[in-house]
Amino acid sequence: MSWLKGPRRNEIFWAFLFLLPLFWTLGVAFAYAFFRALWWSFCDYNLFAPPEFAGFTNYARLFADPRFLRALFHSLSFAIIVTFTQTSLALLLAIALNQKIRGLTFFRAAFYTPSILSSVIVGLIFIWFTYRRGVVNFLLSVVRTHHLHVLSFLGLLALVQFMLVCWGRRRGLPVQVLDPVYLWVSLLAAGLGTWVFSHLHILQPKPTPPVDIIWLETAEKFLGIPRPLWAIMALNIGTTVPTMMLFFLAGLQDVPRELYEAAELDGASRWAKLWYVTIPALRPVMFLVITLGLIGTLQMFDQAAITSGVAPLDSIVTLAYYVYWNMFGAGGLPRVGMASAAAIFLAVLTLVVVLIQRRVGVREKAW
Amino acid sequence: MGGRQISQAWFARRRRAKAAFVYVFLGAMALAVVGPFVYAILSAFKVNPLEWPPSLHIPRLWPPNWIAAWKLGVQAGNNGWLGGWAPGKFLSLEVTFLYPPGVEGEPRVEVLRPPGRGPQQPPDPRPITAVEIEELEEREIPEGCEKTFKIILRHLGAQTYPVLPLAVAGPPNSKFLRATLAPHSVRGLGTTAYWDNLASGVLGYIFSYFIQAWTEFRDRMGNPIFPRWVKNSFVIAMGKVLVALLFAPLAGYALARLRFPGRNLLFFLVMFTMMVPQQVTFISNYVLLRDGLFGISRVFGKESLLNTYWALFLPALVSSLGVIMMKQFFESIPVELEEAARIDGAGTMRIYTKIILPMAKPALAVLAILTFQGSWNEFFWPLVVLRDMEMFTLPIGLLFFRQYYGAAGGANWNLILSGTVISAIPVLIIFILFQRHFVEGFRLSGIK
Amino acid sequence: MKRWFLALVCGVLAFSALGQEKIVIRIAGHSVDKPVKEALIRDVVAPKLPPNVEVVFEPVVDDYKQWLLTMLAAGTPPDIFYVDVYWAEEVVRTGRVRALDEFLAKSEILKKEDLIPVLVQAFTVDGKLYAISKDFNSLVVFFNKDMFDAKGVPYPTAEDDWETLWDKVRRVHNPPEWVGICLNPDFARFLPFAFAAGMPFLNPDGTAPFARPEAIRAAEWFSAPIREGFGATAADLGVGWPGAAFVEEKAAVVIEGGWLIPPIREGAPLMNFGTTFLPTIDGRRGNYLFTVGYGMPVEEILPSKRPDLVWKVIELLTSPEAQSYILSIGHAIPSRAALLSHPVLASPADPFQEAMRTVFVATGLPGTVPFSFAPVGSVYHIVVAEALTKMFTGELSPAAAMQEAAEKLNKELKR
Repeated sequence: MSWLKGPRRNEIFWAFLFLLPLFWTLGVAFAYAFFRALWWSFCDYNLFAPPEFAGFTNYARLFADPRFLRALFHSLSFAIIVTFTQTSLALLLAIALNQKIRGLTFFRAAFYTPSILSSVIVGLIFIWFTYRRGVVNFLLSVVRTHHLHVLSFLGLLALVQFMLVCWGRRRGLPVQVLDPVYLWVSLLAAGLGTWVFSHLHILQPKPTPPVDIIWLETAEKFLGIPRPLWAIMALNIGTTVPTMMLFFLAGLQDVPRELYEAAELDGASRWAKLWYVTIPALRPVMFLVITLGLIGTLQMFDQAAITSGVAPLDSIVTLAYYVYWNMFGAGGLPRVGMASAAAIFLAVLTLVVVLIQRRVGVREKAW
Repeated sequence: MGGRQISQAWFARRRRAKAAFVYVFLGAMALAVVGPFVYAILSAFKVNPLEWPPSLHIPRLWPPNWIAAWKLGVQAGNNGWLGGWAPGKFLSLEVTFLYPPGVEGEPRVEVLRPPGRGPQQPPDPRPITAVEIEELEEREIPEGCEKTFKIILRHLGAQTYPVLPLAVAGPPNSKFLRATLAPHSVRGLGTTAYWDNLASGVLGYIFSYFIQAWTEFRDRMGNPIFPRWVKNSFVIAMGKVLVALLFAPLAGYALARLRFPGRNLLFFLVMFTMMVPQQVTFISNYVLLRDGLFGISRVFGKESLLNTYWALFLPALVSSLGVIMMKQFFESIPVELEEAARIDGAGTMRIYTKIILPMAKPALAVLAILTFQGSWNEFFWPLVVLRDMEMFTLPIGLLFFRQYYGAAGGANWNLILSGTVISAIPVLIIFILFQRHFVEGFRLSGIK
Repeated sequence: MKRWFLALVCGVLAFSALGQEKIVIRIAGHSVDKPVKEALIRDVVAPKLPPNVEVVFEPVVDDYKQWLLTMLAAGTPPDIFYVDVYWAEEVVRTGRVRALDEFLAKSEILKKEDLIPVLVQAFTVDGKLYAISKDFNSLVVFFNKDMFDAKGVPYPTAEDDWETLWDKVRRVHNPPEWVGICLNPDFARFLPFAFAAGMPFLNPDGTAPFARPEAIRAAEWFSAPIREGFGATAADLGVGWPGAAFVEEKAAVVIEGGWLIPPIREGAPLMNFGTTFLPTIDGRRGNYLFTVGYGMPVEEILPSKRPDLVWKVIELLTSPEAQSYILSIGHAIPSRAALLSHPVLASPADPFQEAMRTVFVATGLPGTVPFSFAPVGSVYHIVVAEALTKMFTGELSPAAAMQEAAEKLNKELKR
């Protein structure tokens, strides 16, 4: 290959060659597809007859379709609630658990399990768990039957801890409210006390009818959002928070110690350190996590498709699923125009939400 | 607060106590995350995973039953592992019933026709199985009389049968108590015990639902379809890994090191694609495949590329994530190496193959693993392009399993869970072996 | 919910030796039946096939009706497709399904008289027949004899009317071990009783009939087990459908069709159960006919271009031999009247064959109507289902729920 026409030309030639597969993907599978979808969103097309131009009809029909509006509402609320909850929860946990942890590999392996498995697997297990006579309701039933035990345990815990803290403070020790050593003692005392009460039959499990909450096969709403969607939100948050927490933990441990020492010299309290050092230092990471989180949750499809046979369509429909449904689910011929319009809308919405987040929410830079 | 001297030990105790809480909490979290999967795996062995209340009492995982299944397998077919009802063998099974006062009569023993949902009904051992029953012993207890019977089944035929189902029904008002091998269900208001396969051998007994999920659906030729799904997933995953290993580093290197006009624009475009949902582009790509990729496939005699392996590889050959990851990696390689090589007169291709690629092994490993996992678990695109049951990949097949077995008419969740477990095994194995690479990959994918 | 154990494709006997080019006849059906179908092709069809004709069964994974409508509209249907009585009229009205009367008139093997009349009626639209029924199902009462014996209650019989049957169910109700009856708020179970009570499909003036006294009487009777506590819904018992409750011995009585027979055979082969007809009201009985037939597309879009050959396949699929085969593996109840004299049905040897006979005879009884809601459409049963659900949960009284259903339907009809 010594056909040299000047090193620069050569380099461009090689770049071109190396990039051919990427050009194919970007060109055909992305750009061409994108513009075709854009074109079709302005057409009436059913995959068999040629597309006919129809102006903005599809977009008008979208906004007149209650199912689309519902999908929009679901996608937005899903995105905002899930992203916000999982990020804050992960952050709080990371801050609370911030210390050198040994055996992190083991925990990481455990926490990553849902992420590496197919969404179908996680979804099927989720459906099975949330059956009316499933594990979730069973655990809730156990708690309800034993609620007196639970209350007594918590009560004893608070009582003993309170006493110990007061005793410590009176002796002049700088004891915090949640002092770990005392807390262990309180836990033991509460456990022992509850066990004794139950052994002496002071506390008895109250046989109550089993908890019968229908998680998925219902159209009922809670705070305006259907219950199946809440269940899916819980699934998403529950499977994401552990790994996100580890991620934040790594970020926290990257914060240079000097910053904390400087803050202490200035007389900062724990909360001030948190607010003025930790959180700003984590901002770039948080920005990334929130942005990716918003994008991912706005485009949620898998869980809706997997539960679509169990939960009513209108309770779990999201924008992404709405697109698919217009193509392959609705019956009769595919409504390509509507599907494309909805897809374009989703893409634009994603962009808008990300930009809004950038302006109004967590910023990209640390300080 | 007095001015007491607070010992270092006091603080140390606090730190240790806090650390203890941290570990306990992390452990609880790990349990909460992994627990459901472990329970799902265990429940794949249950007769009815939807039982209420859910319990951990699982006959198929109870060692005494393993021994019993082994013994019966040996009796029935010379083979304790896989069993089978072989000619010339005889089986003996002990059953115990409770006879309340006033109840008389021997239990009725019936060999059953093997249930078959699939096209291939297992051969029916009823005609060639002779049944004898004799009473072994009686024991008086307050509630009545415990009678133990020995049932002998003899094979009078010439062929081996894979399935030997049995039912033993005590007289009305009696109660089945126990037997050599736990029955898989007891009906008839407690009088009738059913075994779906006495000659299953240990492995057949423990993994019966896995075997059923694996073999139940068959195609026209009689070949089981589930393995086909595994093969499809595997072929496509390996194919995608090869394609990714081939093409992604090329693009990544070009973006990282080669200078050409529009380089930044191209990179931005790649990033942009990650934000645009698949829902926008899939319609066009679907139509593209349906029309045989601009008609090219007609050259090879195919009208449409839907429902083929091609549909899963094309149109997206290179994943944006892979390209970005490789670019990040290549940028971290010192430029001096390349410059030195160029001064020595090496061309771009030479530099790429002799210097860059060998150095990229760790990143390539991550790429391979992430690509494999992504392809194995891919859901949306196969859902769109695969219509034929034989071409399904595992995720789509599992969805079909749920629709078929989970429908109101047949809540066979043990089969669904078995299928799920089988699907999860390859990725779990790779994960356990190469955990480091996964985490590396997740980390890299998060960094711009 | 409903299960049709559809007969499998039989082979094609090539009467005409029109060239030896490969002819492929495609049949499309529900994917859930693929395993059973494939077996039937192999065992009964394959031996009869000449080498150049191949019959292929192509299962449909998604919603079958949607798929069929799409294929007909696109002009690429299979040669033979299943037609469910529930949506038969909708598909026929696309104008792309071929009327089969001319074939029937010319056929030597299959004549209209051979088929059970109500099945012919089910697929007749505007006087023309569009599909040959391959099998059918209807509702009967299943009861667990052991439970009745344990409580000393006489078995339900064909002479039972609404009052006596519910009385027996009350007496056999035995909480917490089993409930008297497992009943879902299912319109497909309720409407036959409403029709038997005298409720017409629509009032003579075209309005909804649900507020009529007969309809309300039926509603009060049907929801009595749940409201008074001697019955439970499937969900209350923790199962997916009443059939499962019956198999798992959680209910003494259920009202189901022949599709319950295979699950019983699989789950409790020695169950001591019996079947009988639905109870009468004022001497009248109602029942639904669920049936699936074979249809073919009009000639212009017939893929194999051989309507005569396709008709031959249909003939063979509904031939006595094929139906006899289906009957003996216990999967479905055939449509030829003559099969009533088949030993399985004439002298049933076990509870399963008895059950099949009961279903077979029940279908032919007066009062059986095809399971179809044309021309009103699905809104008819949707409002009924909502009313039933509200009745069962106690949210509304039966009378109020039916009133509401009538109002909803009238609003829809006015559009």
